[in-house]
Amino acid sequence: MKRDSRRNVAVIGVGLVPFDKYDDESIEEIARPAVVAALRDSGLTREQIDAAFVAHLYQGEVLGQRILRGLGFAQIPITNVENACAGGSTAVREAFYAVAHGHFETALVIGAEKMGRGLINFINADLEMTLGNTAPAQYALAAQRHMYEFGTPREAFAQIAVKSRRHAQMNPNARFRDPVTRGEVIESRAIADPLTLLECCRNGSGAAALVIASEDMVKKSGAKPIWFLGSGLASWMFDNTQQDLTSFGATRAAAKAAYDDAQIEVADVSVVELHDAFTAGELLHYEGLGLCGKGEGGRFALEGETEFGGRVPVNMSGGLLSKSHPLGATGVAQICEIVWQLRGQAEGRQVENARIGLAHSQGGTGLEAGATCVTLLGREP
Amino acid sequence: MSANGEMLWPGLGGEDNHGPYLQGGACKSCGQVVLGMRTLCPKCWTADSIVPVPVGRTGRLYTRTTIHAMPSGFDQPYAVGYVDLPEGIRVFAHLEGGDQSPAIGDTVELTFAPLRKDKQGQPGRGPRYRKANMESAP
Repeated sequence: MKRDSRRNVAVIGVGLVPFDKYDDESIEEIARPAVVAALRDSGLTREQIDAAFVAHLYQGEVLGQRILRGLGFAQIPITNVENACAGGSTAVREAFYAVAHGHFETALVIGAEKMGRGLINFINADLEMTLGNTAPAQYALAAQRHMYEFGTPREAFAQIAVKSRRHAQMNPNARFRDPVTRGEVIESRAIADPLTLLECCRNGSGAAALVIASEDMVKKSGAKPIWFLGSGLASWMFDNTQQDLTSFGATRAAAKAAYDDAQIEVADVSVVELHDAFTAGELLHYEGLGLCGKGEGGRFALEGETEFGGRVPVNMSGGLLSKSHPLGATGVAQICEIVWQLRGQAEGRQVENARIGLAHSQGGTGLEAGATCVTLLGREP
Repeated sequence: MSANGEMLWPGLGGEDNHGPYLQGGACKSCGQVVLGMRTLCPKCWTADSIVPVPVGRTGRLYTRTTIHAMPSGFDQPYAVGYVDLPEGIRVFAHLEGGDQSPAIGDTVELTFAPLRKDKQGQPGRGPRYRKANMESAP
């Protein structure tokens, strides 16, 4: 979407229910405090919310209605969104577009998920899953090919897990905050070679919510806005085709669409929240987002470019690796972190002079079919 | 199918005079080759144009891993990979383990083997590639 064909839209409120187990709470009980926090942060009342977009994957019918009926909302339109693990970011995008095009003055976005334990059981097991393929194995297969083609050292993947915990130590909302060493990562339980337990995100439950508003409503509310600069959504369909698995085509396409939409260059990005479900994914997405060249992800990870204090810090929140991964909530929570960073409210982990932030999330059934969403936010519209 | 169990996925493949094969389909209309049978050609969209052809007797290993965190129905870690077939498609399959386990870039040949147990503990068969042995083994 071209910027000159839409209104300016901002995030004016964020709310996060830190990810954890929540064995005793229902999904509605988990999610509602995120909504309350986002509304209070925005300064709007519930009567000023025009619509809601709600992302989840496994929570059954009309989750948004079930959450909001317990918060006194009236007859607002509610759209429930599914795009696997990219559902949260896709809901953000749909809300952004709906306000940008003048359908609504405000919108609430909710991402919420209550997860079980262990490997994710996809509802529709495909041939690969039936034969025993798993989500971590998909990333391991991509990592192995990357190591084969580019000589990527195994330590580069481990370093991403080390970085994640280093950043998580600075984030009170992160779930796993103990530091780890490269050696500990490599020696932890094998999952799918080369990936170990500390290189795979855990399941988690939790919720995140945003209030977004048109420029007119931003002025009326008096809230501090963080502006949408651009959005990109792309898919990939692996239909037994011989494509390059070291390159997530959907990440490349979504990033390009977002940069074009925002009319910025990747070098303008100050801080990134990236879908690090697995360390291998983060390394490949560095390349897909254009943070480094193709084949250079290993060097980039090892040289500290994406660490706190580096050129472009990635996953200051600790990412999925240190926060865990409630599928529908993840993409919305990434936006919370970017908003805190751009507001200068990321206490203890603030990236200096962060002006433009990028959130990237990805979902799918292994590599067979999936969605990637990239969102760009900035301090100025 | 045999004493070694049913195929894990119906119509996955079989064995003929030339040995084991995966079930492929070729479009009579445009020539596109796909894995499995389909009612609609993904390339030219012609309906009921896919005729069965055997594929995947051999291939080249594109990438591989060993899965240690196993879903139900597996007892011990197993090697898997993507195999690029000369028919122009890529398939996910198991790989022979141990010292002879194929490496990325190796030419591989298809076997069928019991891979995974169902909920009743019955073994299900599926494709497992091994290093192609040009000199026939003794």
